[in-house]
Amino acid sequence: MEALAGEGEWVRKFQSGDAAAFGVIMNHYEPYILSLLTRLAGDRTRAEDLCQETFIKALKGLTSFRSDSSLKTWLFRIAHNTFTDHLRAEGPGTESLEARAEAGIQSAETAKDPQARMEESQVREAVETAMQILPQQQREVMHLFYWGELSVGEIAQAMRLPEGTVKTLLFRGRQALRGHVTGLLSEVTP
Amino acid sequence: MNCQKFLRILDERVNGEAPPQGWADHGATCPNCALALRLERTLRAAPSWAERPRMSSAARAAVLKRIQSAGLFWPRVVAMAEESAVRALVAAAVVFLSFAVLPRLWYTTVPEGFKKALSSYAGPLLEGFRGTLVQFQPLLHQNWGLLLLGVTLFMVIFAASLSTRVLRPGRT
Ligand SMILES: [Zn+2]
Repeated sequence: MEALAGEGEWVRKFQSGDAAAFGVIMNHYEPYILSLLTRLAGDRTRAEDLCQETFIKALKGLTSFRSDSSLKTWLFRIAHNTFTDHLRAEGPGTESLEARAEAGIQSAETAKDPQARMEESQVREAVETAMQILPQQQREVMHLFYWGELSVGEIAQAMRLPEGTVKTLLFRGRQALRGHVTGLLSEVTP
Repeated sequence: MNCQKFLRILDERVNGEAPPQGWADHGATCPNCALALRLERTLRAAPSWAERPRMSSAARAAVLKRIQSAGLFWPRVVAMAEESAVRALVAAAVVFLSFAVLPRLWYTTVPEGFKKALSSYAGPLLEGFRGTLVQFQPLLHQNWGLLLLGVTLFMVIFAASLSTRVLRPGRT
């Protein structure tokens, strides 16, 4: 993921009263934040609401933002907190793992064309499906690492976890994903 | 090379380090590991193939509208004031301590020869400085005089820092 060019300058412009600078920042980071929230919420409409909330929080926080961490890590942290708060407010059991698993199996069913089974698009589809089956923390760490291109240290900052925990989650996430993808693709093996 | 070792190296391999001999061979011949390797490559390439979703224009507009209505003026003022206050506090403490400690160090630790050599250069400057300081001396004998001096020092630096911040916002 590319950092916004002249990021510090945009932040300073915003802090000195240039409202349009926030538009530039949001325009750059919006796809990454929305992508993470879609992955976490599993629902695009809900993800959009959370994304909107994330940027409104960022808007307020940016007035006092100091570049102790990168803007990217900082925004991912707000998104993470927004989602976590949302999850807490909804109460336990809202994340239907069964529904996710079911969706995964269905997707594998539709992928039963042996010819296409090892095509890159097939692997990607299996990856996307398998990601949705992972437990929330593993899914988030995996997404930030591979899709968001954050380092282990940056993920630790964004999720407020020790680096060791991030490494463990990444290790387990990779193993689980491997298992799920193998399962999904082996169903199409003749 | 067995599957376990292959996967361990695959997981630990960061920053494109060269894998040990036989690793690639195993990846080419073992279907399970070949899939794992392929999966890792697909994942590493995710930023290039992943969808880049966008919020609806209504959602974006709602956020941007907040800039006008959120009353960002006060948070910005508070942030600037806070930043300047911290700076002024540190600067005032440094100035205060140096006035409290430096004269004592001057009399107790600096060798006489050095003092003489220095005073021929810095003497006139120090004299001028002392002239200013002497004016504050009666204040020190008053109740709360020291505190008043500290607060004044803080306010002067705070005002200077805040003015600089407001007039030249590009600087942090
Ligand atoms: Zn193997």
